Amino acid sequence: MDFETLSVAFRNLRREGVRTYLTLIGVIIGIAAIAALLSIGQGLNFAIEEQFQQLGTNTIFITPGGLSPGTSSARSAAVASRTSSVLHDADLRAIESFSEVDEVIPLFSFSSLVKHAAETVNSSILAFDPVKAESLLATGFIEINEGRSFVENDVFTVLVGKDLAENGFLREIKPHTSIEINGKRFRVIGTLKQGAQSIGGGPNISNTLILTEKGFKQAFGSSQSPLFVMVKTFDQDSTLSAKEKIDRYFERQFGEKVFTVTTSEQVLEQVTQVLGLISLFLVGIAAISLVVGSLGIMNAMVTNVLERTTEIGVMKAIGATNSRILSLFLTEAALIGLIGGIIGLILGFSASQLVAILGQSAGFNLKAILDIPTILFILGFSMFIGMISGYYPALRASRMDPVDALRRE
Amino acid sequence: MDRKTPLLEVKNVNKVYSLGKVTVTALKKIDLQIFEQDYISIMGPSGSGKTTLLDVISTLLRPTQGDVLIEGKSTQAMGDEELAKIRGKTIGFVFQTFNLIPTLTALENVSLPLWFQDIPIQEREKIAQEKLLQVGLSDRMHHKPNELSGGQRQRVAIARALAVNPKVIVADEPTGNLDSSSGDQILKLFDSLNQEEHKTVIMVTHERSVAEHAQKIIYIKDGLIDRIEQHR
Ligand SMILES: Nc1ncnc2c1ncn2[C@@H]1O[C@H](COP(=O)(O)OP(=O)(O)OP(=O)(O)O)[C@@H](O)[C@H]1O
Ligand SMILES: [Mg+2]
Repeated sequence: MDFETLSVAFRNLRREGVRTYLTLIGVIIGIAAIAALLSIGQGLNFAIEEQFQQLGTNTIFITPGGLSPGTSSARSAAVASRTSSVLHDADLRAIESFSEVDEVIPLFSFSSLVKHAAETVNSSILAFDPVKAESLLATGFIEINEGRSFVENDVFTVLVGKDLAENGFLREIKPHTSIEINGKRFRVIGTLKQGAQSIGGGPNISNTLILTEKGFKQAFGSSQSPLFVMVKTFDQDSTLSAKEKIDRYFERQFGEKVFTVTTSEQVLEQVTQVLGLISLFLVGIAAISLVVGSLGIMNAMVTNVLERTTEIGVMKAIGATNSRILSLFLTEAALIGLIGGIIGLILGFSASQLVAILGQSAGFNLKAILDIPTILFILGFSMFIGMISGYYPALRASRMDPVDALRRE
Repeated sequence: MDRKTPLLEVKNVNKVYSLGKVTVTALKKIDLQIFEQDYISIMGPSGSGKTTLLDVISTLLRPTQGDVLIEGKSTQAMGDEELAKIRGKTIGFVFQTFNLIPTLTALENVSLPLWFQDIPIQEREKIAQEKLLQVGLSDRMHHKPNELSGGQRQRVAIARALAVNPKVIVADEPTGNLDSSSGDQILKLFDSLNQEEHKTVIMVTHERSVAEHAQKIIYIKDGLIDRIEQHR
């Protein structure tokens, strides 16, 4: 495909005006849908893999009820079933004593009255052991904005989410002040950055107070059941047998399946499966819109060929070979595909960026990612669609008899 | 090439159009030899087969029976692609309705046949400029067809026909859509092409005054050559 063929094809498209634009819209919608899906899909995969990499593949999650962490209704389910299935320290110690288990990390969630500068507000609270939860912290879900993070023996210390610090009370909460939680005084050691997400269906970090496990028990007593428990095994190979042991332990203790025990690999599998299903569905819709787009190209090209019958006859009379005519019309169709592809790509990526930004402000670690190979694939694909759809009309043009074409009125 | 080999030769040609069950015999047993530097007009009543004959002579239309030879070479067994290339080099076409490509400028229209002959772009532009100068349109090179008068368009078409430096110029009613003074300009151009550049010119017309520019007038009637008149 040389530059001149391209230039002639481009001018012909411009001449067709409205028809070209309408055809383009069809292609743009299809390609935009595909670009949006691919970029969001890539972003999600990336985010999930990153999180699981940091969490490690030697992690087991224990959640009350029949749900695993990560599903959106996990929290309400957790609240509802808390009364019926309470995990005590004794249970956690029993699990910790299994030979495969390295560490047991409970995460507590609660809501309570909090007093700051004579004002009392109800706030959600999250608590964990900062030393044990190091790998959790490594996922970056808590980032210090001002002040410091927890150290090993912190008890009456608290970290405050950004929104809560700035807007929760009339007077902003600053580090080195103190607040009262359930009647106990806690020192604010730091505030958090925005953009953090919730973990395991827990509260939105930005609106939460974070305590150490010790401080939490001081304020609310030691019989609180955790929102969920993370169990670290020594290595990945022992994760499965540890899970089985924990399952059996719960069966003995509670008789029925009141806790769900999931390995991180299982969670990853489930999430990937759901993600795959959703994107399959969406790609199906995108494919349909592309088929419509490609029928549009075919229709426009058939009309173009009919309209330019005389022109084709003239070109053939003055020495254009069949293959030359074929390449001219194929280029035109490919160009519709490519231009539609470029615009669709830009629109689709912008749309998924918007979704990602909206998602981020709602607390999800969502990114829209389009790498160069995917971009090239989409552009190549859209050109290919154009050429496939344009092939039949172009072939018809190339096989036109010059005399017939010239005699056409 | 010796003077005896015709540039174009029509040998015992029949052309039958079939429209379903009805058939129209447009040409019957035509034999014709056209030599270099011939200047020929084809005349006859409407529907007599003038256009059909011109299309057959110029190898645009394959005859139902018989053969057409270009410089002694039979076109019967030639493939479409090969014939297109040879036709493109040997014959320049001028149409009644000009048939310029509307998206292209005058210069680009004239370059088009050279592009089809795979001639490099710089050379193409140079030749196209020369040809436009020759037809007196060097000041209209970058105009689109719709910015030109009918006579100017036909001159661009002639420049396009001349671009590949063909031995033959073929024209079907080249003045049919023009007023008499623009028509005269076109005919003068044909005359000089024939006399000064030794081009073979074959044109179809139904006006005697136009036909008389040629040395030879072929009258056809009902698909047969009725008579041939020699002039000058
Ligand atoms: N494609 C076609 N299919 C069927 N019949 C045709 C076709 N082209 C021409 N004919 C018939 O062949 C005969 C010769 O037509 P042609 O166009 O050669 O006439 P002509 O002498 O050029 O006429 P005019 O002076 O009106 O242009 C006419 O009877 C016409 O109807
Ligand atoms: Mg005619």
